[in-house]
Amino acid sequence: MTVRRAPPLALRLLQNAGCDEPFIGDLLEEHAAGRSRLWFWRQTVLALAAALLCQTREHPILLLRALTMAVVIKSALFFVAAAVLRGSTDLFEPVIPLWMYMQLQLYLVTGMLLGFGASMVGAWIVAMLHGPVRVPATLFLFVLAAALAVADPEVHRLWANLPEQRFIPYFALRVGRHLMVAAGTLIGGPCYRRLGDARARIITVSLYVDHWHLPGAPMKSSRRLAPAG
Amino acid sequence: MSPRRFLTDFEFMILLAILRVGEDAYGVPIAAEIEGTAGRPVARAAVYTALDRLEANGLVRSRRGDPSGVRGGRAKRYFHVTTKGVRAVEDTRGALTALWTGIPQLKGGLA
Repeated sequence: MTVRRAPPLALRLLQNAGCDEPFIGDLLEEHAAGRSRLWFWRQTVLALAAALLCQTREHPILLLRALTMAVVIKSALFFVAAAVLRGSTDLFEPVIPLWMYMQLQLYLVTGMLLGFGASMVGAWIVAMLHGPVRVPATLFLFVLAAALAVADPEVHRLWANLPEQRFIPYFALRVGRHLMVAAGTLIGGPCYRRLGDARARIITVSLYVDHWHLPGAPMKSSRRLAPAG
Repeated sequence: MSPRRFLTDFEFMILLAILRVGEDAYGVPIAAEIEGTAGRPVARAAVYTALDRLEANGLVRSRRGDPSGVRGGRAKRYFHVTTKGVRAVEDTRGALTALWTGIPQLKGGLA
């Protein structure tokens, strides 16, 4: 008999969220018995939401540290990469004249790619170091980046004192940069597992440090929907 | 904070489902029992969250079974209700019955 394959991405999300193995086994068993892929995805989303609530409630201080660290790491990586690639530490204004249109585009695209890479690496490191809160940390960072993408044109309009919103391709690229940051966060967060044993070692050290410096934070992580790391 | 004396409706249903299923009570039959008798879909994550809470409060205990291929090599987690859990079910039922009694609008009840 051929066992029906569950959606691999959903399965990976469940594993990365640290869901209980018997719980994942139950979903696989029901899917093999005839439940639809849509059903499997619905259960996955609900399980991620449950993990989000559980981890946020149990480790608020650790989550705050993770978010702070993510912003610092991302900014530092972006700063260093921009300085190396563009020969400047001025991150937000083009250092080239506007008449050099192609170069401006190149600058913006480079900024998007840098934002993507820095966010991915930042989210990856933070998820690796903050096992108990990796789901809310990744999702909060994603929501923050997406919110910036939505708010950017309006903030720019107010900043420039423009009477009404206008579509300018430049805006699209600015928004695109935030979206790339959001995408990088979403990809980088769950990718930490590729580090294998090194990840386990780092998380062990991290939890050890948390145990002494964040009273009450890490040792409640044995709840089933919380990560096993 | 003192522990709650009574169960939530979902915890109550889960404990009753475990007692009805018996020895083979793991996630799938527990959820099926609730869906079958209550007639409402149940999120599997909600079942496990409640089971974890019940286990943390000492109302159920769990053990791991053997892994199987159809479950991707993952073991089942069997649950059984502890003595404390049975007492909690009885307390909750008593409280609900007391509330039920003497309400004239509920025809066919214990009024």
